[in-house]
Amino acid sequence: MSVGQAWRQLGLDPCHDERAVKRAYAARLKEIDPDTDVEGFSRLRAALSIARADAQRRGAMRETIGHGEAVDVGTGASAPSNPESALEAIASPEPAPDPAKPFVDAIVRNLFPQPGQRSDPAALVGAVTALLEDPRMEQFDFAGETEEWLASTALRAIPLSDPIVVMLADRFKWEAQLDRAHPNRLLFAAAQRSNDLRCIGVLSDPDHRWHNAWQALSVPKGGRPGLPDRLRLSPSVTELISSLGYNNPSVLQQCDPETVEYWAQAVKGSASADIVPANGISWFAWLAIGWLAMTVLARVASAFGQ
Amino acid sequence: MIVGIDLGTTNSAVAYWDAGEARLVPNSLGQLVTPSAVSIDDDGELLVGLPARERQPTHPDRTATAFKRYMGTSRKLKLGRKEYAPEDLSALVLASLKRDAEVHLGGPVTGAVITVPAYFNDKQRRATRRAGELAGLKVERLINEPTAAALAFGIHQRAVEEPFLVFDLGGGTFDVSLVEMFEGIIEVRASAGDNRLGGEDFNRVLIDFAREKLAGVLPETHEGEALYEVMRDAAERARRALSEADEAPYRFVWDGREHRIAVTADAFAERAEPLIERLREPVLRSLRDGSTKVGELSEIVLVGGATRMPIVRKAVTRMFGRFPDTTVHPDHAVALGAAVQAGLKRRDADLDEVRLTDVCPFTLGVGISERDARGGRRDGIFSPIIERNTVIPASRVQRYFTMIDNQETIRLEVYQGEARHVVDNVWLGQLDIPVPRKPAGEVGVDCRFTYDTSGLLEVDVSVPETEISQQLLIYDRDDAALAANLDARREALAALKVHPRDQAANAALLARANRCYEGYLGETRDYVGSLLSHFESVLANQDPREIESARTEIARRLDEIEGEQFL
Repeated sequence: MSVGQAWRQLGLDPCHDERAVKRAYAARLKEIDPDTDVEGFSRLRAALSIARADAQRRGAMRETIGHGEAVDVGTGASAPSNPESALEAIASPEPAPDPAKPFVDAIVRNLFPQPGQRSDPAALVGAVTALLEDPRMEQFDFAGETEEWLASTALRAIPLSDPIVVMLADRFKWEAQLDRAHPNRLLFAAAQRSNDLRCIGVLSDPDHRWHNAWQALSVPKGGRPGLPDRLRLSPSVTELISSLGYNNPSVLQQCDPETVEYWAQAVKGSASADIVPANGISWFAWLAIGWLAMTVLARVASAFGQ
Repeated sequence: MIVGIDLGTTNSAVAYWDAGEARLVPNSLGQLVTPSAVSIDDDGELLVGLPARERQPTHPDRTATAFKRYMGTSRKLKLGRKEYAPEDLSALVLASLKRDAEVHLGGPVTGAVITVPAYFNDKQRRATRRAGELAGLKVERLINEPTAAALAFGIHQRAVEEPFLVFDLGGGTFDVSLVEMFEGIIEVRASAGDNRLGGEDFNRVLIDFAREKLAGVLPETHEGEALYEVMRDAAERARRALSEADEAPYRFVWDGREHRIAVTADAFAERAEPLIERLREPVLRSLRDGSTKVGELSEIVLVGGATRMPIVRKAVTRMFGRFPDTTVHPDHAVALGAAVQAGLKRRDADLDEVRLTDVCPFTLGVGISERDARGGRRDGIFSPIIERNTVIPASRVQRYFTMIDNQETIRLEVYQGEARHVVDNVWLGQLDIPVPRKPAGEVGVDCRFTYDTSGLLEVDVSVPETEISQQLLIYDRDDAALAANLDARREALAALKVHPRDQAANAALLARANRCYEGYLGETRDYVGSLLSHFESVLANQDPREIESARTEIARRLDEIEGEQFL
């Protein structure tokens, strides 16, 4: 459905007035019976969402252009809008919650240090812990806003935010987002980061069976690994690359691309040697054919000899 | 006449729309809500409602309560010698409500709008609809409980423009709905919930508390056993008392001994903390889905009996940072809203300017396989077709393709849920459709999902190339069997001998006195025993006036012993 069709469906001229859109939708809805006319209802809903989005866009445009003259096409009943108060709402930032302000400031200071200053991981963790203990964390609005602020701030401050990401993910159960069909985008990104950090943490353990493979992959050595290295590490690097590609692609992306490419090539080379084309003939068959040919040749030769 | 019925886990109610107003129907005891309880007495007669609930502790093997929790499962409940499906028991409750309405309205009731928890899945909805049909009701529509409550609230508050939130914690289920009103349109923006969280779980907390305190004294017990039911009854009483006081006794008699523990409100609150914590997630999700902040809400409307608990109210006040609206009667709102919907369905003139739209609270889709970047195949990925919080009725189509050369069939497995992998979602049904043999990816099937206003799903699958199309009936083998012999089952249920309606009050009092007799020891027991034998002798005389005055008197004396009766 085009934007024009949507407005026609609602019987309205394009405008920036969302209330008029709702009113028109209400009037049209009362004309149909959604129980029996599923198609008609679907069309009306589509028209509503398209016209609403269009009205919002027009409203935003009108505000940036200035008040009044813009694309306001004759809906006499447009809602009284007060651009000044709207502007005020945009201009004044979210008033920082007082008791939490020192912690918020400390978090920002340690995530985005001024030139010449250093981030202190311990202070960062302390400030986050203190913020999370705010009694208002029980309230949906405060908790929701804090959660989203922490997620977006932490994502913008990679890698300085590494010390707090896993801890935040545990507290807000972000990693549940990874299994959702429709995850919240921001929280999903934060969950992925936390999952990556966890993964790197596990691989950094010298006892892990992929630890050496991880070192080979993550530490750029310059130059090709020698044959002994390749023989020793090839199978586990193959496994690691495929596992990371599946579960933590961004960890793979953080490694030196040349090193990864080199190993992937090496892996591919050795892997393709093992693969027998499905429609080809196996070496065993070649052997049998060869033997048969030799026998025939021998027979022929002996026949000529006689 | 079409009525609205709230078929609850603990209590049910029936209401109708008349002269611009929704009204509740009183049952044979004159009460506006009827416990969702069914019992078979010693004469093989069927008791429904309060008399049945009173028999739960004394006759656990012949009584069933809270069966709504098993709707849509293959679990059977045994009453006496016979087994019943949860939908059979629900049908008996519905039939009893239907009779009450017919007596009250003086005419036949043909159809009903029945409420279900918003988070009920497709199987549970189908089971509820079958229960209605088994009770001889045409189910005009299933409506979500919080939506019904929103209707009941909204119909009187038509001027409200900001969205409001319905917080519905019932006996067995928890639902949250974000509702918006404009120009007479009542629109549910988002719903979320937990279909395994309610008052019953709070009872279980108290039962576990008592079991711990009495460990070693009491034997192990499980749901459905006599001891468990006695303890459940005691838990329900203690929980109600804790709504009024800071401390309440948890007492019951078992094996000739009285057990008594004091439960403080603080201890209860501490134990119930994990349940309170589970209230957060659905609220947060519905607010996020509806992109609404608590600050923008005009009201938080509490519905459902379990919202009476002070710990729940405190938690709500804490979490929302403001006091909830408690003007709506928590036990009546849902039935009243269902009655409004019945009026809407009838196109009642008083409701001409009112329309309701609801959403489907979960995502529906099919399981697919995909190739990942490295060429490997991943199976069991969930591909959503109808997203959660889509306004219903809705119809969406999606095309899927073959993955293997010369593939002969495509299997479509239908799932409901929010997880990325189908194993974590609810399986609803499957269908194999033949496709022409061609190279992979060249043959497609169109899969159309249609979700009706009752929240029931229909799936149509077609192959454009061959013009073969099939409809998937969304039920599994158990369901198919249940749906097949609906008529036979209706007759079987109708053949049950129902305890005479005019005797319900006597049956309820007898059951209550018997429960009291078993629930006390010593002098109190002897006293209740004498009341019982007095009442039995009065009943034998069959003088209605005498019976009634004896009933009132004995009820008063029982109130003195155990506190007033509750619903």
